[in-house]
Amino acid sequence: MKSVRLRLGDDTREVRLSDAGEAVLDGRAVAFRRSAEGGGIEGLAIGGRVHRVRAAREGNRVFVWCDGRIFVFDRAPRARAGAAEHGADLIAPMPGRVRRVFVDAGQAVGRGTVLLALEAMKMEHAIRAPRDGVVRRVLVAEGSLVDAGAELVELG
Amino acid sequence: MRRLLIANRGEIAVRVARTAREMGLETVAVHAAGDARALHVRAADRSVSLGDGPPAETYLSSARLLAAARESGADAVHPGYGFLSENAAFARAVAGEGLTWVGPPPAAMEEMGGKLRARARMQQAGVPVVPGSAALSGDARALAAEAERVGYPLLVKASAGGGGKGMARVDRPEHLAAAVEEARRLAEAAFGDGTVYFERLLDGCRHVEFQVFGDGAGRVVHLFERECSVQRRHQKIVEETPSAALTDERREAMGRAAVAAARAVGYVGAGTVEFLVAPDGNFHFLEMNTRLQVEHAITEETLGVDLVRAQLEVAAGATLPEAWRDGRLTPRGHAIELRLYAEDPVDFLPRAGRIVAWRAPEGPGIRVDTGVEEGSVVGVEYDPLLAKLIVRAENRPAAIARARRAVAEWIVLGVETNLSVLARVLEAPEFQSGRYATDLVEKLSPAGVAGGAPDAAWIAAAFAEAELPPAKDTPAGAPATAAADPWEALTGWRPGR
Repeated sequence: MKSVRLRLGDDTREVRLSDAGEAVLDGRAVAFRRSAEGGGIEGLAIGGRVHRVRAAREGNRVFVWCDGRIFVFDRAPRARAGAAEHGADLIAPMPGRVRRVFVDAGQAVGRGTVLLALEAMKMEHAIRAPRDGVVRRVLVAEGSLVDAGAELVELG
Repeated sequence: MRRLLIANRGEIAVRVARTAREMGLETVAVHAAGDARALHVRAADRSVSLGDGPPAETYLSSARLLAAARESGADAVHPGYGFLSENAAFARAVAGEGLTWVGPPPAAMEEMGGKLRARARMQQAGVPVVPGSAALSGDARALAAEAERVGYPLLVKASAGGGGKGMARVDRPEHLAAAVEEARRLAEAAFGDGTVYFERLLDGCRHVEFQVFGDGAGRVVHLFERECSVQRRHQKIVEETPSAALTDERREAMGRAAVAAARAVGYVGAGTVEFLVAPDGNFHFLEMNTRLQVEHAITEETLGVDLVRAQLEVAAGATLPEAWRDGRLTPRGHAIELRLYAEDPVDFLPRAGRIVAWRAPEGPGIRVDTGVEEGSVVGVEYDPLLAKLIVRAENRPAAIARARRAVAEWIVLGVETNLSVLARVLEAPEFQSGRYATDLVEKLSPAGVAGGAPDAAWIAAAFAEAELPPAKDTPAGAPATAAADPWEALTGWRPGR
């Protein structure tokens, strides 16, 4: 049994796979039969119905086309100590260019303080401190390009 | 005209190159360093690098584009849309080099370039405009009086703005002064021109535009309308023709107004006159786009014409095709365009990435104009439009059904897109009834994943996560893995769990 954790929106699930054609989705067993259909498409027969799927991993995401709809899963790492400190506001919400960095390492900031300004497609997005704290590290420089999801600032 | 330089990238550069090739013209692509292997470069016979740097130093650099034209021996320049397509100084510079500019006369571009100037010109020509003010000046009291005259709610708009940029909504007098101040500051920063004015905000409006075409002999015709009300962030994502909102009578009146608008500025070539159609059916001139539109293809599909071919022929001195002039041109069936953007389907912010899997829809009535393919890298420096799906069918319901079928066939993996938003637009009862306005996308049920994903999708995702080798381009900062066994390399997977 191989086990992976995936997140789709607010829904995080543990999926265990066995080569024998059984998956366990959060404890619920689902029998399937898998076949290659050509063109990169796979067939997944579940309960008498064949679902057509194509999946690809890119970065920290898994993209799945399934019967005409596309789902983007996040690879959900297991919770680790300190993970909660990495508030969503400290990562780039979109790819873009870092326009300005307003804080330095060691600086104390209050909740809501604008830490840096990110620009993409002529829109400027202010990255604010999600809570009071001290800037441990600034991980990007003014003018640098960042991907969506890139960590920008480490707040202690 | 023998060798055409296409001063653009992405799907429009590919699309122009195709028609040019059909006409026996040689084509020259230009590209920024990062685009050297882009689809549009391979669509052309030859290519010239514009060097490294941000767009301002490549596709927006008049000097580099002219140097590329000289270097490649091009004798004509097609600007596509966006970039320098509506830049009169560039058009003049092209002509100054002795090259043919595939676009309208620079003077006509200038007349329509500034919103205030265009409004004044249209009023002279008897074309109705959205009620509004002249350029704002004077003290707070004068502003308040002017706003009162125009009426709330209103928009403070930058005269130099466009494409949804440079406008702010004001609902109450107490917010007026600050909004004007802010709009001036933003307009100055974004466009180098702080001129702003008021326009009444007409609620529940539809956005309908008319394709117009002029030739050097002074003839101007319209090629019917395109309904462009499906928008997000004031930018279109779905267009269709004909518009379900127009009666034959209204269509004729708007067509006449569109032709009058183009004629008033001595228009030659392809252009688009945009109108707001109020719920009471009254229409108001909004602006004129002095170039080929993104959504030009739906007009091509229902009329059976090639607008790029006509652009090139008119630029070379030909008159408009016979059939366009004598009223024989009539739309057949219904066409819909869906724009595929690399963007988050919830907040509509641009996304970047690599397209690791791509399968475009095919079959009857389907046309896909794309600038990307499997393996393409989508950056953040450019407009996030990846491709356009254009469907045509005998009538509107059949076109919607065809569009839904095609969207379901479309496989785009590796970068997030608005494909699910397009699917929800097509499913929306308001869209299907034809009775919708520019707020349709806001009113759609929240994105989320309707009903969640089927078990098959979770299982497929788990297989991809567990089996496929990690992507080659790990994101910056991700630890490189030296594990020989792919099982060891899995993030988040531990034996025995």
